[in-house]
Amino acid sequence: VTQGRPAPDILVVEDEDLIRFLVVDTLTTEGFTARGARSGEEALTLLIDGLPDLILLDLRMTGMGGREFVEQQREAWGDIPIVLLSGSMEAAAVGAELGAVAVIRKPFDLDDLVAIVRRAVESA
Amino acid sequence: MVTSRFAVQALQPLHDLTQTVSAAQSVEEIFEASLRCLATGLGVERSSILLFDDAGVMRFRAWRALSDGYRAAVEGHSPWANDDPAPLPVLVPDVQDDPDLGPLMDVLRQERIRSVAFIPLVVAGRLIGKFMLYYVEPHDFIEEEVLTAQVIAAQIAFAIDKQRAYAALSASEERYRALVEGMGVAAYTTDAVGRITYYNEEAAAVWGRRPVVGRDLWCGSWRLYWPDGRPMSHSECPMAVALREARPVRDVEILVAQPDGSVVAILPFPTPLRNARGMVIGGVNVLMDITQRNLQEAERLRLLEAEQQAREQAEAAVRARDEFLSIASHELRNPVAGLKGTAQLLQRLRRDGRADAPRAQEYVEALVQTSDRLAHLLDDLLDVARLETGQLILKHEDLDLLALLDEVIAETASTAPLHDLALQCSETACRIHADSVRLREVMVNLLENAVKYSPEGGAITVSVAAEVDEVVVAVTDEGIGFPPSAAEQIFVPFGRAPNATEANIPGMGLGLHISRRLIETHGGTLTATSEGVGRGTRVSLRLPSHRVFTAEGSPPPPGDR
Repeated sequence: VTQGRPAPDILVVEDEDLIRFLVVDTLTTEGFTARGARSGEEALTLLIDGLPDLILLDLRMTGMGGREFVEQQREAWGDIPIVLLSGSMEAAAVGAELGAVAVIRKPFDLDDLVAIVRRAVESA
Repeated sequence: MVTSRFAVQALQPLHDLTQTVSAAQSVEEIFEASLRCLATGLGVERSSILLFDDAGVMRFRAWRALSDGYRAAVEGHSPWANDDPAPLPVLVPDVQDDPDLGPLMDVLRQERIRSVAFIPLVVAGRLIGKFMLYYVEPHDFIEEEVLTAQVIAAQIAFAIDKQRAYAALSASEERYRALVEGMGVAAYTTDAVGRITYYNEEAAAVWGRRPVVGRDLWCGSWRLYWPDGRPMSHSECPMAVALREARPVRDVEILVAQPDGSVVAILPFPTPLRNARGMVIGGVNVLMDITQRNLQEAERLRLLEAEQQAREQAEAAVRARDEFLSIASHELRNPVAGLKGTAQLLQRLRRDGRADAPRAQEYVEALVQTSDRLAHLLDDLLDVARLETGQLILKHEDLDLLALLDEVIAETASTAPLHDLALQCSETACRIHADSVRLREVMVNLLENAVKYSPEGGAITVSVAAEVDEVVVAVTDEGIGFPPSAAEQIFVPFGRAPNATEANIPGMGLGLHISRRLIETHGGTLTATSEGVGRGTRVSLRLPSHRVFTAEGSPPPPGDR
């Protein structure tokens, strides 16, 4: 992460506890500020504390899913870059539809995930 | 008096002739009667009748006392043009004085004919032939004689014409009757009122009875129905309509019930018959038996429907399988992603020389838990697959349901400190025939659900009751319940009640599906009810029983083994 600037803020919206923990943990280790939300609803409330630089988003979640979250988030806060993090077979199509900057299929490689997030943040 | 002699002499023969020709069955009878009338009425023994043949040549048709040679010699001779509109009698008092007959003189002499009369036969202004009178001596014709001859000629001509018309008509009728009888299709005719005048054998077969000709009205059916089964009165039948409205009726199907109870489907083709002035004088109806055709059509439709249904079922099965695979792959990817990510994270910690950090131990524990969850998920998916393909084999044995429930309740209670689990049963033993491993699986699932979906604790009651031929186990909790609309949804693979997902209660939605299928394989049913969200859930399991309750210690009936 570039010296002198505040660490990029990543919001990880993922209902699978283990995945959320380890992604937040890893991104934090890599120098990002990372926050976790276990559903679309929780993520919307976290946005009030401050808008992140990037949202890592699962599609299929208990409670509000990724698609609905994107709609409500955009309506309330405008565009925030999104990277989909999904096991769904339709992830690529949904990613294109939602204008995601990248789509990460589960299971994923942690190093790849870090690289993709870094690239997305730098190009934003 | 000459006048009265002819008049009186001719009256009786004329009367006889009129009588004879009115009843005549053939033209020969008319010829015979005519020659007899000429002999008795005019006193002429030798006479002949000639008619035009199809080629327009006068041919002898009947004669008295004429030789073959004479006839051959004079045939074809006529004093009139064929199209003479008003031919007059030609009288020859003495052939020797008539130069026109000169060429025939030798023949006439040989036949001893001295005087002849040619009397034209005319019908409606058309010459159809003549009759001849022959005399041995010269003959002076008097007016009354000629008039009488002309009256007789009119009679003959009229009779011949009528006979010809009748013959033509009956030939035509015969043709049509032969056609109707030979075409193998039911047909009948009626008069203008609708009384049946004729029917063929095929019509009798369609009706299953023989109508009374001249009495039965409109059709010979015993009972009639519309295609939808409503009774149809005879006056409503298509033939009655055709006659009443003077128009052909088409495309009206009827059902004809025969006296023996059988029913045939008929497509009638009733058509009114009109005379030359356009008046309806009767009707003709052809009946097509379409019973077979309708049956074939119905069979065709049935096959088509069955085929469509099979295809829809197949398509629905494919859709359900695709949906299942889609969800299953997603559900599998999450724990696998967790495992892989955790393993990589542990690698990173080791790489960074922080392998003994406290959180490393937490991640190792998460690895174990997630692996267990993955294994459990795989077991469930395998169960679903086996149940769907019928590969799940049950090992039935006699077991005590109450003992099994006691064990499962004790196990569950040990992990549910907030809940109060109890078994309610008035009996002391309940023997059933079931696969103990699978039944235990179902009961564990139901009790775990009861605990999971009542996160704030409360009473969980397991009751056992015997009904007529089944045993009913009900698991009741005081948990979050579900909206009535979700009662079936929660048994669908991956199906969950909306309030369960809203409450963030984890679950894949496979447990109840598998449990229900397992109970169904045992011949039982599994259903769930709730009075609504927040008002608890009651899951009822019904298993067929063969006197399942016994007093403690007594052996189960032999038939149960």
